[in-house]
Amino acid sequence: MKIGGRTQLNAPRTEVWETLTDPRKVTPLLPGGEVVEEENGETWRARLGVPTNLGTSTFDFTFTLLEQRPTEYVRVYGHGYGSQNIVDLTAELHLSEEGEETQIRWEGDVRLGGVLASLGQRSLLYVLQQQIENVLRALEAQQSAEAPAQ
Amino acid sequence: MTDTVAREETGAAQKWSGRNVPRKEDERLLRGQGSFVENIQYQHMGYVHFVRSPYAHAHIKGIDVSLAEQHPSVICTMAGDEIEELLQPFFQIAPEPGAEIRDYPLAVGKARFVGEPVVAVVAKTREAARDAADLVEVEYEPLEVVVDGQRALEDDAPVLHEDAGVNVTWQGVYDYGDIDSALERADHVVEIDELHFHRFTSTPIETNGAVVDYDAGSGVWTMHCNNQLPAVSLFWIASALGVPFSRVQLISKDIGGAFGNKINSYAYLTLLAALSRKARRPVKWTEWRSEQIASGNHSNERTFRDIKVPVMNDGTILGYQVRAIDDAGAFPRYEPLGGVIWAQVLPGCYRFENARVDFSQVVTNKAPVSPNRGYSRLQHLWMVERVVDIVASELGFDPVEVRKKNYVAEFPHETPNGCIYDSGDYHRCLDIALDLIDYRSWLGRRDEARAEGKLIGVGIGSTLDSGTNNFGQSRLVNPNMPFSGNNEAANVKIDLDGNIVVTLGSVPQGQSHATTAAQVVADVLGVAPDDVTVLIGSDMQRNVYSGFSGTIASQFAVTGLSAAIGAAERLRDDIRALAAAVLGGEEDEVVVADGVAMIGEDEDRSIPLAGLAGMIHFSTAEIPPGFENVSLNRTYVYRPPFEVPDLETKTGNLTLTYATQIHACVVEVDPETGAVQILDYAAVDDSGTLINPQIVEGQVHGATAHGIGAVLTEELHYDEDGQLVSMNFYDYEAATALDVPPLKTDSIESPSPFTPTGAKGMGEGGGAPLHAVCSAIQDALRQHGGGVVTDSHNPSERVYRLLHEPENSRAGIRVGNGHDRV
Repeated sequence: MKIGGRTQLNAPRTEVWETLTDPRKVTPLLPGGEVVEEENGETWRARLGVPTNLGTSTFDFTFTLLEQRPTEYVRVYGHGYGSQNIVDLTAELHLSEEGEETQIRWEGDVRLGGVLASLGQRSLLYVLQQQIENVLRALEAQQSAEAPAQ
Repeated sequence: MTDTVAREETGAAQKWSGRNVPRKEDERLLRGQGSFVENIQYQHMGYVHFVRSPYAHAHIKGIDVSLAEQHPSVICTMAGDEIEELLQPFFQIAPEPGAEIRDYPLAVGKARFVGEPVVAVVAKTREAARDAADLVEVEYEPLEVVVDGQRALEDDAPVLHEDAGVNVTWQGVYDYGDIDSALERADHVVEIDELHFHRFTSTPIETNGAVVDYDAGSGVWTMHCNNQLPAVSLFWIASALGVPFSRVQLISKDIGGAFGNKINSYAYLTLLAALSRKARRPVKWTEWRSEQIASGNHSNERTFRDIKVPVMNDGTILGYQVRAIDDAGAFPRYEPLGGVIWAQVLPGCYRFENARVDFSQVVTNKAPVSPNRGYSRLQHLWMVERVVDIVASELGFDPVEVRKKNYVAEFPHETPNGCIYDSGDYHRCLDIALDLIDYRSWLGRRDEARAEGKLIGVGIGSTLDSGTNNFGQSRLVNPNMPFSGNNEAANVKIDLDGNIVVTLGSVPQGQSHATTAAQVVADVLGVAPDDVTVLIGSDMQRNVYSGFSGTIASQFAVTGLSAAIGAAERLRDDIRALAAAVLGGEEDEVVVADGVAMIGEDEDRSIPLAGLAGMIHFSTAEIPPGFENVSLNRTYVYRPPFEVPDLETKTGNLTLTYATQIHACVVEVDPETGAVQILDYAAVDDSGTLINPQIVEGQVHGATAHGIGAVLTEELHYDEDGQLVSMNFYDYEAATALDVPPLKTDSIESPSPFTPTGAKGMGEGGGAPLHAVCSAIQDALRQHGGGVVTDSHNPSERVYRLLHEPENSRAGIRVGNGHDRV
C-alpha cells in the first residue's frame, strides 16, 4: 500500500530534522509511543498504540534508519507485530526550507498482515494518512512549545 | 418477491408426500428456541481463542506463552510442539506423495496460510482468552509465498510440505472416447487458452463452534458441535487422537447453515479434544466471523488451461480436452476428492462422447478448501457451459439451439465415463425458463436498447446437481481407500406411550429433515405428520448412524428418506403381524390407518397403535406366542445400488441421481462503470418427485442466491503476499436479499427410476446462476464488441475491463479447422 503527502511545518528545518531522527524525541510523538530499547543510533525498539478502525492495537516495532542526508532526507524501515498482526513499512521523508518554515514531502510503502490486512487497505489508507499528519502536527506543536518566547 | 408459477401436477397418489406440509422446524426456530452450539453451557467451562498466523508462509522460530500463562484467567495454552506429541497427523486421502503431508490442527514448525492456528489459549472467559492470546509472542521467519495454482506446479516454486516434497497432491488423466480423432475430424476446433473459476466461501449465520467435554473416567469425548458429516469425521478425529471411534461422540442439533464447509471442522474438534483433556474441563470455541471467512474452509479455485473443443458444422460438439489445475489451499483436508467428484458431471447436460481431462491438484499458501455449494462439479459445469457459450459465440450458433442440439435427450443416459443420468427433460426445462423471462421479447428489446447506448444481455445456465455419492469414486484418486457405495440409517419406533418417534443419522442444516421424514413415515404408517415426532438433529449417543451418515452431496431426499421409509415399512410389517395375531385375522388383511390397525374395515376388530405399544412395552404377558422378539422399534440402513468403479478405465456410476437446473437471466451492463444489474431471472428445476414442493423451492432460492452472489460480489482475494484482503463482510460481500432479484421459478418432475420415492437429491444447484449471469454479461458485451467472459467472478471493474479492453480476453480464443489444429 503506497501512501504519501506533503506538509508544511512552522518550525526550522534543523530542529525538525533533529526531532525526526532522534528516537527519544520522535517516538513520543507517535500514537501511544514509548521507546523500549535503543540498540544504537540507527536501530531502536518502540511500543506503539496504533489506532485502527478496530480500536487501538499495541504493536512492538523495530525501526531501522536505512539512509540519511542530514536535514534533507531520511529513509526508515519499521517492522511491527501485535495482536496477531504485522506491519512492515518503509518511509522516506524529504525536507526543504520554505522561508522560516519546513516543508516535508513523505512517501511510504506499508504492508500489512493478519486481520489488519483484511480491513481493506482502502479504509486503513485514510487512517494512516491521518496519523502521519497528526504526528507531524504534534512535532510542530512541540517545536512551537519549545521555542523561546518572542 | 417470488413469482412462483404453478408446479406441474404429476398425480402422485401419496397422502402426505408431495404436499406443502408446514415445516415442523419453524415454530421453535422462529421463537428463538433452536438448539445451537452457543446455547450449550457448562459450569467451569473454559473458552478457547487461537493465535493465528499473520504470515502466509513462515518458519516458526519460537513461541513464548509465558506472559499469557501469567494472565489470571488463563487455564492453559497449547502450541504445535505439544500437539505433535499428543496427536497423530490427520488421515490423508491422497496417495503418495500427498499421503506424506503431516497435517495437525495447530501449525507445527511452519505456518502455511494466514489465519492458521498457531497457539490455543484456554481461559475462564471468552474475553480473557482473547486478551491473553495477544500476550503470546511468536517469532516468525517469513518464507517465499505461492498463491497461484499454476505457479505451485513450477519446479522452482516454494514447497509447502517438505515431507511430500512437491506441491502436487494428486494428478491424473481422465480419457474417454477418442478426443484426438474428434479434434481431427471436426469441422471447427475452438481453442480457449484459459478459464478461471474463483475462490469464494459460504458464510453461514452460525459460524463453526463446539463445546467439547472429555470424561476422564470413561475416556469419552462428547462434542456438541455443528459438524455436518459426523460419521466420516470420526476417521480423522479418532485416528488423530489414537482412540476407538466409540470414544468420540458428536452431537449436532440445529445448524445455522452449512454448505459443505462444516465438513472439515474435524480439525478444530480434534484440537478442542486435546485442550479439554489438558484443561480437565469442557472447553468452548466459537469462531469469529473474520476467522470463518479467513480459514473456515473455502471453495476450490480452479484454472482450466488449453481447452480444445471439436465442433461440427451443424453445431454438434464432439467433446473437449482440458488441463485443470485445482488449488486446494494449504492442506488437503477433504482433498483430493475434488479430483474426481467433478467427473460425476463429465459432459454436463450434453451428449459429448469424447473428453480428456488432465487434472492436477496443488497446495498453495491459502486457507484449505472444503466441499462448498456443489463441490467440484460447480467448477467443472461452469467450464462446460462457458465452452458451449464461447463455441456458439465464435461460430455464430444460437446459444439456445446449440444447447438443444447437444443436450441429452433420452434417459437413462450413460456418459462416456459410465455415469447414469437417471431422468430428465432438459429441452423442456429450457423452454420453460425462456418463456418465464419472455426470451424472444428480450432479444428485441436488447437490440432496441443498444441503439440507446444500453447494454442488455440474455444468458443461460444449464447444470446438474448430482446427488447421492458412490464413495467408491475415492478409489479413482487412491486405490487403497476402503470406501465404496453409500448408506444412511434411520430408526422408527412406537414409544412407550404409543407415540411414533423417528431418529435420523443425517444432520439437518435447514433442509427440513424433520418435516419431510415425518411426511414419508406418516404415509407408511397411516398417520398424519403431526403424529410423528422426529427428534432434533444428529446425536451419536441417541440416534442410529451408519458409515456415511451426514448431510452432504445432495443426498438426504434419497438416502435419509429411504432409510426412514425402510424403517417405517418394517415397523408396519411388525404392526400388521402383531395385530393379525391379536385380532384374529390374516396379516395381509390388516389395514394400518389413522393410528389404528384393523382387519379390513371391521371396526370391531381393530386396535390403536398405542394399544399394541402398551402390550409390547407394559403387558408382556399378553404378547401372543411367537411375537416375543417384536419391539416395535425398527432400524433400517439404506444402501443405494452401487458398484465399485473400474479403476483401470476410470468408469462407473459415481452418483445415483441427477437433478436439473436450467436458469435464464437478463442483465444490463452499465457501459460507464461495468456494473451489472439483473433485470429478469428464471430458475427451472427438475428434482424428480417432490416430497415437499415448498421446501424444494426454498432450496432453489437459496442456491440461486448463492450463485448470484458468487458471480457478482463474493470473492476471496489474496494479495501477492498471501494476505487475504477480503476477510470481513465489508470486503467479502455475501449476497443479501437486496442483491437477489425477484425470481421466477418453475419445476417439472421426472421421477428417478433408481430411488424408492422417485425423488432426487437437490439444493446444490448454485452453478446455474454462476453461468447464466456470465453468459448474459458476455451477450451484453458482444453487442458492443466487448471481450469474452473467462472468469467466474465478474464485479464491475472486471466487466469494465472486458468492455474497454476486449482484446485481452479475445486473444486467448482461437477458431480453426480440425485438420489445421491437431
